[in-house]
Amino acid sequence: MSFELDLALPVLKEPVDQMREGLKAGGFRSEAVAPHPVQAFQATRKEAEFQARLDTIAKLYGIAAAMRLKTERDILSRVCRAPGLPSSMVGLETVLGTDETIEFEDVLNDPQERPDMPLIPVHERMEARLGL
Amino acid sequence: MHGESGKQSLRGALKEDVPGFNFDNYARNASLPTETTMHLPSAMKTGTTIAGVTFKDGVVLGADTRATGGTEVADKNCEKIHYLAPNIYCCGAGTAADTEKTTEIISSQLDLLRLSTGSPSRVVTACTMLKRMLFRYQGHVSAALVLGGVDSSGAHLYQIYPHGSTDKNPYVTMGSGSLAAMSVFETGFKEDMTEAEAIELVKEAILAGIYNDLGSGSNVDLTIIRKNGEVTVLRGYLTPNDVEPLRTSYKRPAALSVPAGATAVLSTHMDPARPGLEGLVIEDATAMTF
Repeated sequence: MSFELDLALPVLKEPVDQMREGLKAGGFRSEAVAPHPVQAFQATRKEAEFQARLDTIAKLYGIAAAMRLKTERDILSRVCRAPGLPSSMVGLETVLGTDETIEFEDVLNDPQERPDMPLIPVHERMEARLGL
Repeated sequence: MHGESGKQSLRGALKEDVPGFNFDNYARNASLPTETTMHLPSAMKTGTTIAGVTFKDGVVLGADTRATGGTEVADKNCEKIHYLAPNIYCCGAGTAADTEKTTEIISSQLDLLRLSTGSPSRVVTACTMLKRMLFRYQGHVSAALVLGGVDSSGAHLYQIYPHGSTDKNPYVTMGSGSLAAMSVFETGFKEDMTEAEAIELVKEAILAGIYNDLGSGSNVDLTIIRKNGEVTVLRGYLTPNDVEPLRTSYKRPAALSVPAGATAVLSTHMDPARPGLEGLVIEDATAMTF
């Protein structure tokens, strides 16, 4: 495992939500560290895999089938409980086929099992999700 | 909760928790060596000898049982041959947790697949699942595997590297003792061996690792998977490094073996655990046993 420091000048990529996250104590220092390589590609992996699947389906069954799948995914990804409560995402998993796979995401670090779950009001979580 | 960790978890909660690998401490760990004079220890070399051969009627898998943490022996009798399916087993070398969890997850996946297809798992399926998972994580999941099993198309033996490349060979070895074990296979392997010959060859290969590689040691574990579907798991097939006989044969000075009751008890006094409970009588209580 390599500990590489990204020596590029840190840039403010999104506005800091100071009301929720407080003033950034460490400044940009914590942001300046390049993420772990696995963390970096894990952030884009799911979307990349879905895009590859869309391309395959577009070639096999036409662009309409791909559009339909994308629409289905977009609709089903919104079917969930209020933040803080577990959502089974059964529709989304069925459409994506992830209901028949078991990966590290299914067994490691389940948010429902974390010991230090901070008690944040559901309204505040919802506001954060909606970007209010 | 206070300080940085409290803030991190607050931020994590607002940004929706995602399951999977946790990178909370990565940025902190990365900044440790530059902020202090302390330097993190370099990556540790792992040690193991795992091997497998195909024979006339199936596959024999073998492994040593030493687990190390750096230069220290962490476990003298650990299990390195993992169950994947009733007809497929997998030896693991590398990071212990990674090999355990990877084989566990693939075992569950194979179980699901068997339920949905209604047919026994094939070794090539397990191999493809493992290599896809390992390649996806680009070698960060450090599992070097020897995969063996039988299915409708015969007996198969694969070796899988942590980066996801695989080889299919009649005899394979993995781990730091792989060179010692392979030297035994290269001299002793024959086509269409009997089961007894195959067991003897794998035993010798693992022993070569145990005696010549510092990362391997202790006992020889074997698993035999036969084409008729029978599986024999021989845990502790050979224990050449058992120190118990030597310890018991050594005569210790009589002064060191004090018999029970040798020290005289002059008086006994007992205080109740809580004052005021002196008169407490517990009825119908059963003694706790282990």
